[in-house]
Amino acid sequence: MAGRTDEFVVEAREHLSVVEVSLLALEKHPGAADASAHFGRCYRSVHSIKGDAGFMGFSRIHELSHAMESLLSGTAQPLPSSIIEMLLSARDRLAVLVDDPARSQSIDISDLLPRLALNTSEPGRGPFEVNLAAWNASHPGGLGDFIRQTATARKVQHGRVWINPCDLRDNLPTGPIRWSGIADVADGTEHVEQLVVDLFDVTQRRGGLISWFRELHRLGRSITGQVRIADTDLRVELPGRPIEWWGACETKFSSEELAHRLGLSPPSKPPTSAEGAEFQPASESNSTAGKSTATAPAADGEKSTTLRIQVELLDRLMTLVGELTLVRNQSLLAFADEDGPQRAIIQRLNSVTSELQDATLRARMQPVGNLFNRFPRMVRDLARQLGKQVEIDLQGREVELDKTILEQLSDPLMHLIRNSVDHGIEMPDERVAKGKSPVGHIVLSATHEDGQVHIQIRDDGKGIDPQAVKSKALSLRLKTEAELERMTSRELFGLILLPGFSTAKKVTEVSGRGVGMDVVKTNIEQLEGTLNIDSVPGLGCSMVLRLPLTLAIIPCLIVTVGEERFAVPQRDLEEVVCLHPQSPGRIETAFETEVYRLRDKLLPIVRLHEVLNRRAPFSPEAKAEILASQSPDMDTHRIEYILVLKLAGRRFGLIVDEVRGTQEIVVKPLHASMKRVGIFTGATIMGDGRVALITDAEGIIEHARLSFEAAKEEVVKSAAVRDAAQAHRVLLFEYGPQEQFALPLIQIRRIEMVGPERIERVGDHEFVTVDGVSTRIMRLNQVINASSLDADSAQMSLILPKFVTQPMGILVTRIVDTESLAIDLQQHADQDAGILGTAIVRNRLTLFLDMHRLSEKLFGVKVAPLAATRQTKRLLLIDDTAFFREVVKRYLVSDGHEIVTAIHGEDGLAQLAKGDPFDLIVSDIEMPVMDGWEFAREARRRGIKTPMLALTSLSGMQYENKAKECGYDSYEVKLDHDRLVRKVGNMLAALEATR
Amino acid sequence: MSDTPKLFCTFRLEGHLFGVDILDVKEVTTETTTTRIAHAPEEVRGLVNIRGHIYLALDLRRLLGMPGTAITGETRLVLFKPTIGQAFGVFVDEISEIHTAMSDRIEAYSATDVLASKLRRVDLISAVCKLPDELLVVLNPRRFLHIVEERLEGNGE
Repeated sequence: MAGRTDEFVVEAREHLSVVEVSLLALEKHPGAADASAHFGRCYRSVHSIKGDAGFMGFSRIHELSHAMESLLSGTAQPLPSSIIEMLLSARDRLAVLVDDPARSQSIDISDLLPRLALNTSEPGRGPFEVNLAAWNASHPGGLGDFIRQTATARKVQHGRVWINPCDLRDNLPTGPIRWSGIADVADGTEHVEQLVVDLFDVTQRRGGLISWFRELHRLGRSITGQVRIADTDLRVELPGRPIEWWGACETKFSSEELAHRLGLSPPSKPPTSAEGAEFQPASESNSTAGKSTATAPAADGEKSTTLRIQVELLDRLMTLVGELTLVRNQSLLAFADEDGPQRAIIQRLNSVTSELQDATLRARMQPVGNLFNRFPRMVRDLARQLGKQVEIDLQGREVELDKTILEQLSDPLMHLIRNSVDHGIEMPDERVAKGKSPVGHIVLSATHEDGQVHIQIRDDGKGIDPQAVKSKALSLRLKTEAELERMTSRELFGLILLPGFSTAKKVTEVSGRGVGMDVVKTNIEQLEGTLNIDSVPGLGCSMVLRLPLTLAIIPCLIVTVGEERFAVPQRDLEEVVCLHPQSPGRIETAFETEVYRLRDKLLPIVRLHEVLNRRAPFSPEAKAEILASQSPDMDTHRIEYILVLKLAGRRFGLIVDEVRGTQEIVVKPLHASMKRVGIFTGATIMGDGRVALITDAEGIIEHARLSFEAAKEEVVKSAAVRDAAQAHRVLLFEYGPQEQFALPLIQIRRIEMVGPERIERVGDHEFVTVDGVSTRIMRLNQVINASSLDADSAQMSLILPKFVTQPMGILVTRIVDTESLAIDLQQHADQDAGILGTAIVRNRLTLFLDMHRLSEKLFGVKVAPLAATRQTKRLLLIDDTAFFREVVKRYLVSDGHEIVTAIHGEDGLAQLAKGDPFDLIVSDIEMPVMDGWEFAREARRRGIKTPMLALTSLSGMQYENKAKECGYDSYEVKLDHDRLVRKVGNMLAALEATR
Repeated sequence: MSDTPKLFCTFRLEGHLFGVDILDVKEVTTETTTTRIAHAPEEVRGLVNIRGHIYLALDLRRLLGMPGTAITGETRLVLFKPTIGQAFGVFVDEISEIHTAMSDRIEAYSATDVLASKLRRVDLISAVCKLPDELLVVLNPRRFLHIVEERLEGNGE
């Protein structure tokens, strides 16, 4: 019984959701083409609930659904919204009843019934039942009157009077006398079908009476029904055949159709005996017997190919597949070295297991529409309550997600949508005032993206005010002002998800998005998902949830530490860095943490074996101990594997001893008593039968007390220092036997080794192919007055410079070293055009090359002639490095400008104070005494309006933004001649235009 | 108490005889391959794979406050039924026979007993049973996981 009740509840809930969706559709588009389809679905679902409830004996549910059905059938289409409103509230009450059918009897629905009944415009169509005794008492005309009325007003089929059994010799019947029948058979397509069914036969063929009766209820309304059994003395034996059900059913299906659907022999044919019962094709009998109601309401007349299945059974199947996967892995291991026939068998086992695993996982997938469908109602009700107008648009309902994930997604999604309606969408008048449509829109969409499901909630409301978030964060002391400045908008809005943020009282200050958002975040993270918020103030807000498709089987990287194996989920993993003793990168120390410089970013490092061996979360002392134990020379002896793990935008490196490879593993939850061990999320059984633990990146960060803030700060700082340091170094090299040359490092893209065999000749020109690009070779003796080579040596280098218009490289015979640029450059009147000047470096006369001029010479481009018509402009150039000052000055002078130089910010200010106006100021950033930032601020403070261009070796958005804040009009990278000249030209032209 | 005899699955630890109600025991296995759970208290030996299911294996010696010992050929893992606690078992030095005891032989445990001085966790003992030539200490396995959880909670500090 309990099982059947559960089944009833599941089905009824599905019907209820259909009712809701259809009613909302009818309300929204009453005149739409598919309105009658919606109406039909709604009607059928209510009818099904009624039928099932009647069958199960849940009379309250039956009563209420009957009332709803009557109201539906009694009201002319399109349904007025008052009726829809009423039906919706009746549906909700019905949902309450259905939740616990056993107790539904005790729930009072007397308030609803009269309201529903009052709205029935014509008196009952369809089955009815009248208490004649009561009627007689309340109507002066008595029963005669009733019969006359009935006869004139309605066509009644199958009228019948019910009297409680009593001995008429003693008295007239005392109980209710009821008159029942079917009034006014709906639309002529329905008729009453008399059925005589051999139940024995039904049991044999259909496997059960219950599903058969259910089917019968679905196809029509049962009017009468009774079971007839041949007279048998039950003391002696069970009744023989036939056991028959005699009944009548109002249906719109023809006799043949009905018989077919119910699996009966056509009426014309004599009933087949049980022994001779020919089985129907399996597919057909299955599909009707186990017909799924998930699709049934919409496709009543079609054959369904789906099957209802117990969730426990599915879970069990999943576990078994997991075990099979394990056996497969074990077999693969055991027969890895075999070459014989076993190999083929194992491979077959392997592929079948994979497919089975895949299919089972898919069986657990459900369309997100199941979840999405409940939101239109919620949005509608909430909007009404708040006096707003909100429409929700559902997209990608067919996208599927694992059942478990879908179930747990309900609460967080509901919360986010509620927030959107409550705090995002403005009141209609407010919206109109802003020039928006009074109706707010929320789009809820699901899409597949790189193996994940993205669910987005987008609204066109007022959005989140970043300033409000900032001030809130400041007042809560979550971040400092400097930290907030550096944050991207995504990071900033991410603050809302922090626990402290949400519980703040005046949530309206931050658009009120804070309520319980941390709970939402936690829920989503439990599903291995992430949540990102983005918003354009005034235009709306978008929240994106990224979720894995399933949680049961995941790909992992198997690693070892000592003797132990661990599985690191691939979704946490960004890359693996293998640090050989010879590789250039090293693990360094910064901010009491080990760090690794990965492509210009500092990666905080955690050693997994330290995490495993230290039970307590890392204290500062423990961190110091770990650092002390890592003597620098240790690194040189072994290979370090750094797993780069990412977590909601944070990255860190996890050092393990060995990497074994990737494997699909079956996730088993960690034992409940071990849940407090935060560094693992679960366990799995490996191919050799041993258990391995699955690491939890979040837990490891937590345990190691990793500080990302320090790393972030350090990234910026160290990058700046390094860039600056590099910017002020030159590469020393030789070409011919006599001279030493120098070129600033920031002008060098990279250095390539070349042998003479790679050099190709085309006419007078020589080329080398580098990265698939034909690169012109420059021999210094051909462009400047320098010594030449007698013969090319076997191993030469090619310096590939930056900022050149065509691919070229300087051929050199020996790279000497790099050297600081803090050198005074000597200039000679007769020096070559390709040389900036000379200096003595390491006791040798060194020629500093002018890369720009050299490339012009090589490619034969003429130096741009001075525009005679153009006025000479006066520029102030501030740079502390003589070399750069010289290079930039040359660039600008050759462009026809008058240049005044200064050696640092203060010197620059002094030049400005002299009074002669400048047309443009070009300043370096990194300078002693007063740097470029301070200079610009001070200049602007003094009211100097001259356009300013920051010229620096520091590249990156953060610098560009800072430059703007300090008062620079523009920003350019040093030593790119063409860009610099163009930028200066543009700035001057703009200045001209404003005058 | 009723007169039906009680059956105890008995085993030895440090030479002493201990037992648990046989109705609490799911099975006894020879599987001793464990996977250590870092950060788990010392009472936890690790995770064991029993035919595709993962069990938490505890060290009963440590639970009782005895010194730990190495796994030997006699070491057995006693697994308990799910009603006792989620998938777990305890390692014992060696398994002994199944003892039957009438209820009148079973007494409440008194803390003054000789063993008390040796056992740190007397709260794990539910009763003692006087066998003809030995004393059988009956343990309450329902407490085992609680102790591990308590120890784990105390870890953080």
